[in-house]
Parts: sequence; C-alpha cells; structure tokens
Amino acid sequence: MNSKIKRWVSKNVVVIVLIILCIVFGLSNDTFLSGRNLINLTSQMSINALLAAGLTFVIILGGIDISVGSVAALAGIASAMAGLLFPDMSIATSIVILIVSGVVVGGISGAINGLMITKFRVVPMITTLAMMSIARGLSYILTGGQPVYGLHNNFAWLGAGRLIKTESMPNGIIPVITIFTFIVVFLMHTLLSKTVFGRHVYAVGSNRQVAHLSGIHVNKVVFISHVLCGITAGLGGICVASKLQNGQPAACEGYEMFAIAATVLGGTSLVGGSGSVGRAIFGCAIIAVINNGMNLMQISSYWQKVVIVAIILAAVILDMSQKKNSK
Amino acid sequence: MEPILQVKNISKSFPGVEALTNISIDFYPGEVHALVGENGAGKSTLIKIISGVYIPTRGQVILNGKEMNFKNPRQALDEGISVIHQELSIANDLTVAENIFLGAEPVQKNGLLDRKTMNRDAQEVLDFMKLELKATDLARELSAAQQQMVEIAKVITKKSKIVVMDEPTSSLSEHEINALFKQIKILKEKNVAIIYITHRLKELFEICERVTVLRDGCHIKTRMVKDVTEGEIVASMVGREIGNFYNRKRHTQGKEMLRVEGLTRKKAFKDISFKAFAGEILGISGLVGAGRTEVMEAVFGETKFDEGKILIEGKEVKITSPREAIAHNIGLVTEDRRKTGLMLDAMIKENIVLPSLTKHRKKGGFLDKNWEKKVSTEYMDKLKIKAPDIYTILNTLSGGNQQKVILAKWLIAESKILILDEPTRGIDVNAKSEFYSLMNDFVKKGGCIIMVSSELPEIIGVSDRVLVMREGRISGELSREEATEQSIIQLASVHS
Repeated sequence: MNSKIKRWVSKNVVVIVLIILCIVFGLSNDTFLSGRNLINLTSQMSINALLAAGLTFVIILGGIDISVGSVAALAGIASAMAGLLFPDMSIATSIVILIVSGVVVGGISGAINGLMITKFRVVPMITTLAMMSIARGLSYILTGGQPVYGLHNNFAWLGAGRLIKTESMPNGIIPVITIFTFIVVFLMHTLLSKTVFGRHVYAVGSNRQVAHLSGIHVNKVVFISHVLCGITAGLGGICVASKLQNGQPAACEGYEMFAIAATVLGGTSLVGGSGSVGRAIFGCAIIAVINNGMNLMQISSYWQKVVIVAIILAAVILDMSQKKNSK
Repeated sequence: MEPILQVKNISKSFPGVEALTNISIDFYPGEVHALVGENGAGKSTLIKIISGVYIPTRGQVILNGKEMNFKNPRQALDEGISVIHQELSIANDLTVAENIFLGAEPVQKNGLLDRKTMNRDAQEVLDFMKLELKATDLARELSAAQQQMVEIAKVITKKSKIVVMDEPTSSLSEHEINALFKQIKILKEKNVAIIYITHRLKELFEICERVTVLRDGCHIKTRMVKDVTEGEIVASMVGREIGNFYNRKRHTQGKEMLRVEGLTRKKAFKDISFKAFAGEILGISGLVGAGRTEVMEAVFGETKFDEGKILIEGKEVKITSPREAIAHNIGLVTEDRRKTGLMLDAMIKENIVLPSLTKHRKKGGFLDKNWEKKVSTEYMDKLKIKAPDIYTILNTLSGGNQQKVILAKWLIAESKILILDEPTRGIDVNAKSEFYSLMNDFVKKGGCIIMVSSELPEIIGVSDRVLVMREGRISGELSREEATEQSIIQLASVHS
C-alpha cells in the first residue's frame, strides 16, 4: 500500500506541485485565484501547451527538437501573408487559412527534421539547431524584417476571440484559443496513449534495438513523430499570429526552452521511454502559474527566465536520480 | 626458478554464482603459460582478478613474493601487469606513437607534449620488433594484426613483467599468427611471463611451456606442455555428468520449416546451408566468434547477406528486416536480453505484446487493451512467470523470469520458428530446467527451435541434431547419438 502511494505521488508530482504553487500565490495575492485570472492563465499557457504536446513525442523517443519556436514563427508569418490575400475574410475562412498554414509549414519543417535524423543520421540536436536557424532566417527574409500588418479583424478570432458573452463580460468568458488548444492536446494525448502508434513511440524510446527486433518500423515512428512535433509547433505559431493580428518574424523567440521545460516538468524523461502529453500540460500550467504569479508580484521578466531554467535543471536532476535509483 | 606471479586459493563469487573456487597457480618468468577451458570455465574471471578489474572474494595475488591488493587496473598496470584484450584497445584516430605512449606521454620541461621524443622512442621499439610500421602512421590505417603489434609495442615500452593475452590469434590469419609468435618469443627472451588464453589447442604445442585447465571455476590441472597430449587436455576440459536436468524428450521430426542455402556474408560467414524441421530442436555449436550469431541475425533480417537464399516451408522468401521475419512467424531471442531483448523500464504487459500490437489493433489503430490484459495474464500463468502482476516492471524480475517474458512475447506473436541465442545465459539452474521444458512443449506442438549455445552440455542435452560452426563455416553435422563433447570440440576447434 505504502509503495502504491509512493508510486502515485512520484507519477503525479507535477499535479501536487501545481496545487501547492496555486495555494502559495493565492495566499500572497488576492487577484491570483480570481476566475478572470485563471481563465487568462489558460489562454497564456495555450501556445506553450501546443508546442509541448508534439515535443513530448520527440522527447519520449529520446530525441529533442529545439526548432519549435522558430518553426512557430515561420508558420505565423506564412499565415499572416496568406491572410493578406483575403482582405475581407469570414471567421471560417480565417480558421482555414490559419490551420492550413500551421499544418503545412510545421509539417514540412518537421518532415525535414525527421528525414535528416532517419535518413542521414544527423543527431537531433544538430538537425533541429539547423532548422531553428533556417526557419528563423526565412521568417526575416520573407518579411524583410518587418511585421506583416493589415489583417482583417476576423483573423484574430482564433487567438484572441472569446465565447459565451454575458452582461458582466461583454467580450465573452472562454477564450477560443483555450478550446482549440484543448482539442489539439486531446487528440495528441489520445494518439500517444491509446493507439498502436503511440505504444510504438514508447517502445522505440525505451529500447530502439528491442523495438526494431520486434518488427517495429523505427525510422517511420521517428519520422512521423517529428512531423507531429512540427505541426503542433506550427499550430502554436498561427495562434500567436492570430492573437497579435499580425505576423512577427521575431515571434516565439526562446519558446523551445519553455516547451522543453514543460515537457520535462510533466515527467517526460530526457533519456526517453516515458512521459505523457497530459502531464506535459500540467508542466505548462506550472510555468504559466510561476510567470503569472511573478508578474503579479512584480518580479522582473529577466528574473523569470532565470527561475524557469533553474526549475528545468531541478526537474532533470530529479529525473536522473530516479533513473539511477531504479537501476 | 622462482615464480614471478602466484595466485593462491583464489575464489570469486558473484550474487548467485561462484565463478572461481580455490584456484592456485604459479606463473614463471620467460614462460608462456596457457589457460584453457570451455566458455564459462572462469578464465576471464581469473585474468580480471590478476589485472585488478575484480577484487577476489578470498585468496591472494602474490607478485615477486609480495602480496598485492589491487583495487583497480591502474594499480596492476603500475606493477607491470599488462593485458592485451581480444577487443583491442587502440584509439583509431591517434598515431601509432600516440597509441604506444597513451597515458604515459613524454613531456618537455615546459609541460607541453614532447612529440619528438615520443616518435623517436616509438620508432625504436617498432624497429626492434622488426615491424614495417612508422610511428607517425594513423592507427586507423593498420590491419587488425598490425594493431595487435602496436599493443605488443605498448607492452614492451612499458617494460611489463607480466603480459596477459586473451585469444590473441582469434582474428589473425596463419601468416600473421607466425609474426605474432615471433614477438612472443622476443618477450620471452626479455624474461616476461606470458599468460595466454586460447581455444586453439594446437597453439599450445607451438608456443606454450605450461598449460592450466579450468572447468566450472575449478582448477583441474597444470602440466608442462611437453608432458601432455591434445586428447588429454580435451578430456580434462570436458567430462561432466549430464542428468535429467534437460528434460530431454524424443521429438518426432515433422515437415521442413526453414531451409538456408549458401548463405554468405563477407568477413562473417560463408556458404551456410542447413534445414530445420518442425518438431525438433536444432542446436548450433561452435566457439565464440565462429559466426553463429551473425548467421541467425541474417536469417532474422537484422543484417543483410551477400549471397544465398532462405526458404520457409519450402517457399523462397525475401527477408530484409525483422518485420518481415516476424511476418513469416520467426521469433528471435537474442543473446543479450538486457540490451536487445527487453524494455527494462517497461511493464511485463508492454513487453509481452510488443510484436503483436499491430496484428491485434482495433479500427483506427487503437490499442486493444482488453486483449492485452487477457493475453498477458494468460501467458504469465502458462509460463509460470513469477511476478506480482502484469504491471510489474521488467527490471525487478530475475533473469530466468525475464527470459520467460521474451519467450512469451514470441509465443503470443504466434512464432513457428524460434531462434534462441544463448537462451539460458546467466540464469540459475532451476530456471534453466524450466526453460528447457517450455522449449520441449513448443516443439511438441509442432514448433521448430534453432538454439545457438556455447555451453556444450546444453547443446548435447537439448538438441535433436547439432550443427557445428568454425570460422564462419559449418564444419559438421552431428546426430543426437553422435554429439558428444569430444566430437563437437573436435569440429569446433581450429587445428591449423
């Protein structure tokens, strides 16, 4: 019984930490636990949640993708440029433009990463480092370094719109971006935890040789996972563009760090083999809560970065020490 | 003559096994002292103790009359004990001179590397050995034999007093072996004591003065080579009673399941042809490095082959990946279950169903979790896997139970041909016996087993037919009546 509790705690430590953080910030600040702030939080963590959802697949494989931030920016630029072609778009058109841009740009970037890693055996760190520079560079080249302005208001519906309007909240309560993120995350979580493909991802990350000898097409699994990671990064990027109602070549700078942090905080092991999309989202929540809490406490954003990185390191050290103990 | 090195009453136990029991041997300067014995006899454990890799459980290592307590290989090296491993420890991207002086580089007064002295001294040794090598050559460009010579040059520059050579001729041609023996004679003249491990008994009579036979971790005998015959040594290497332990059953041979014709891969195996039938256990014997594992990997599609064909139930098939082999109902239990057999951090359930997931998926690619649970529980029961439940992490199971999980995995995948590579390595006696009965059950139901094993008693006790491999070729086939330790060793040993 005792060991069962221990196992549950170590598995769900991220949830417990999140609750503790909420209590701490809630006690030290009146606005933190207000409904409005909490809903804001879900919208703030959405972009990171999208990036982390796909990244989880890659990290479970024992790989890494540090290009997600740049790919997101490039997808955002692409969606904004495509949006300019439709000066008076409806909400439906805007959604199609955004999602297609995100999926295509993200998918292609991820496919290139996957191809480099599986066909040419370039290590993931170097492959995605190159992709990080290429995607960022393309974003600047395509825009000449200038933001892409002049988009229809409907373009902003996905990223900034809200549903269920009431008298006290005429702008609406639930952010569309939260719902969109929830759907994508749910699909990714299902894919990883309920399908044969998902199980193969775990198997490859757990022991590549065993997976191969069990008849699993290892390269296919790695390739598809990178494509998925690119697609969710692209979707993250179009959400940012929609939210800002413009395309920024400098968008999502450094987001890869937050996405990796969220994934690792969610218990996905950097050596591969274990992890979960659902728990990575709790990791996102922790980061969002810390940022939000520190904002409310008026701590400078420079310090926030330092704190986040310190938390990642702590999470990785914890993960490694657990791995050592189990051996 | 005084012995330079003595081991006295050495015992070494590992959790669950006693690897060496009360071994006492004297080694003399200027002599080549051969250590022979089957795989698992304790040869490598003994040299690991002499060279400071292992600390003995009991007993002493005495060097020049002084008791040594080596805590690590460095200390043994400092006392003049060098080991030339079967897997050479040459850094490919360094030059010959840099390899020779690795870890003992000469430095100038200002603390920088003294490359001039290093190259000069290295060249001196190479010339003394009458080798046509330059100190500045890159190690990568040397042949295996030349790299071995560099290892010996290392030993000479270190002025080692004792040199252990672990199967130094295993990857050399006859011509190269002669060159090696010349160098060994030079070492002898320098009064170095050489401990020489080999499977090629013929070499004893060419180069060795003394021979020690080990069996099951015990010291059987030490003799002057001039006083013994090859037959006598073979007889003391074998000679064990084989009881009922193997649950030996007589099987009825069924139809042909697998036929391999002329299978060849350069530098690994050549012209391999054999048939395996339903209802039999085909044993494959031979020394380590004879190419047995390589052939099995090729049949399973894990590695490619250059020539030859594979037929399953009489039909030629193309197998280029494990996926295709599995589709033809072949299963492979690899020789290293921790590295290539199991996901150690995953549950029994996850391991046991891995190759069968695709076959049993539901619409849309979803996992059939009910089937998973049912079939894992069923096979845990059937194979008597000892674990709390199907959610148990593999890491926490004993070796025998881990091996059963792998077997269950292939049974669930409906394998008809099972390739078992060293299936009982590192598992205890009871687990072995249980594993043999599971193999028998599988064969009785019309399955076909191909078992690679380095343990002769196991090969003889279990197999219905035995193929022996030597240096990448099949050197003979023995029926179960003909298969004895003597007849197998004869076919497996290299005589030339």
